[in-house]
Amino acid sequence: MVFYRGLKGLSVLLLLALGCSAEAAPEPAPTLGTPGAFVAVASDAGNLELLRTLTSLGQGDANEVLFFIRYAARPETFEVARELSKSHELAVASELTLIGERYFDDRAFQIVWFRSLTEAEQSY
Amino acid sequence: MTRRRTSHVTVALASVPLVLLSLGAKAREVDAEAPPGPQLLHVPAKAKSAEQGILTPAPIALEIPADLPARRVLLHYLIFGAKDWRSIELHREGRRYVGAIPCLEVSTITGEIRYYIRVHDAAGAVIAFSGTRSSPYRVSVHHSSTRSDLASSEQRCPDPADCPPGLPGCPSAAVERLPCERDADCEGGDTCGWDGFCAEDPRRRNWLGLEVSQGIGVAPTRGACSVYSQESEGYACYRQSDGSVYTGRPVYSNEPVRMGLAPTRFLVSYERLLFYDTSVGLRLGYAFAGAGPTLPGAADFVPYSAELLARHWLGRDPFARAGPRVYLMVGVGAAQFDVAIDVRVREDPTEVHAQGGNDLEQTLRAWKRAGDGFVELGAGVVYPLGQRLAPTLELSACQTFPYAATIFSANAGIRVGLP
Repeated sequence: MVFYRGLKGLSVLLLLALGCSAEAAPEPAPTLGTPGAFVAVASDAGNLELLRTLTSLGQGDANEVLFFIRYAARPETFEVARELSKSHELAVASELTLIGERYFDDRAFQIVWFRSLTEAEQSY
Repeated sequence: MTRRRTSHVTVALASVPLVLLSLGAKAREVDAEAPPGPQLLHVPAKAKSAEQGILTPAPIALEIPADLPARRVLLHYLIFGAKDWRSIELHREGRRYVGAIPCLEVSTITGEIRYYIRVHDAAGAVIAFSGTRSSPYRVSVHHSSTRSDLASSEQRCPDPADCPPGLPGCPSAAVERLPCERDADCEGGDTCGWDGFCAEDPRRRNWLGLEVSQGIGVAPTRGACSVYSQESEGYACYRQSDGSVYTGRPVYSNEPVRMGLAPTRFLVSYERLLFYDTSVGLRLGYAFAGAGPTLPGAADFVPYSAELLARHWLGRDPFARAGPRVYLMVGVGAAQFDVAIDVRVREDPTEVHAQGGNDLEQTLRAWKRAGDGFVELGAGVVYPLGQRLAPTLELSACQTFPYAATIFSANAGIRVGLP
């Protein structure tokens, strides 16, 4: 009995050490309108276009207008887009692009990454 | 030691020929080696001598005041030509303590026997004395061919088997170990052992140590780099992308405890052996490497450390023998430990961000400044090289507070034993 209690205590310690306690907080994910979110969206050219949300205007409905930074990179897949987004040296194609949220209704897109906006980026 | 009695005492001492004296106890001629306590008998130099023949025991009788808390009365004597002083215990007969330098030791050796008497209390301390090693009583032993008047009628020592020493009516038993309470109670270079007896002590009781200590710290990283943790829990987190202080909004996610290097220190210690297997010490340190950066406005790292420690040495009387000495130790002290760790953070994108450039996930370089108090448990081994030098290796674990971390340390160094 003592042996099994010891095993139980040991397993609790191991779980704690591995970060598996029941108190894990939910990890909020960025959305299309989250400032700083990287959005990879299918383009007319067949590859992906990489955008980054600056801000949004609207009531959160389909008529919302989103302000993006448009990057020059044209990744082929969302995974590649995610890896590109992690770079802090992405070439900017357009510092300010306005797109209505409806644009994304019939296009494949993913929020691939997030990076909080710097003061310079916020000033675009 | 304090003088326990200076009031009037009446004593009598007998030798051969039996001398009976009654004197005031105020010592007027205490020699340099005199132990503390009243001199029971102050005898003029010329009266401190006696004569006797060979093959005759030298009887000693000493009368001690009833209010003197005597427990044992020891007679120390040196036979002419002998190298070492010997001791016998006088046994009590009423108010008198009596005994004799054994006939077999007087033997046929002519010359001078020297002796003095010390009175011990229950704790072993010398509380009174008569004569000293440098100013002893003297008994001149003459051969019957030169002093026929001193010749005994029997001129023959009894067979010890007929009357074993120590039995009532027989010669006094030789004292193998002299009781004592402190070093001043012992003579001839002996010191007072922890068992309450004088002995030649081979142990080095004082040790100075020089060590180098390398620590490895274990610190929790859950929420470690939040602004609150950096302001209130001793963490400092820096982005690897540009080296700036991290002030993002991390999700309070579960992260494992992390292990990282703690400072490297020089340690100087003094340790005193209190008992056969127990010592206490003071250890001071200086961290010369491994200190982390300090956040703007925060207090600088304090490289100095101090620790009080106690060690329990395993084995029987380890300081009296050669070979490795193993110990367990406990300590308490004050020190700061900067533990360098990597902390993974995930940004909360729903928060308003005051700091730009924080990726959704990133690994920060963090330092946990743990301390300022700590308690320590450890074990070590010391391997003496001769009497004075002893390399040492110690492994320990300490828990810091109030800024919590667990520090595992390995110390290596050298100790120097002092008398």
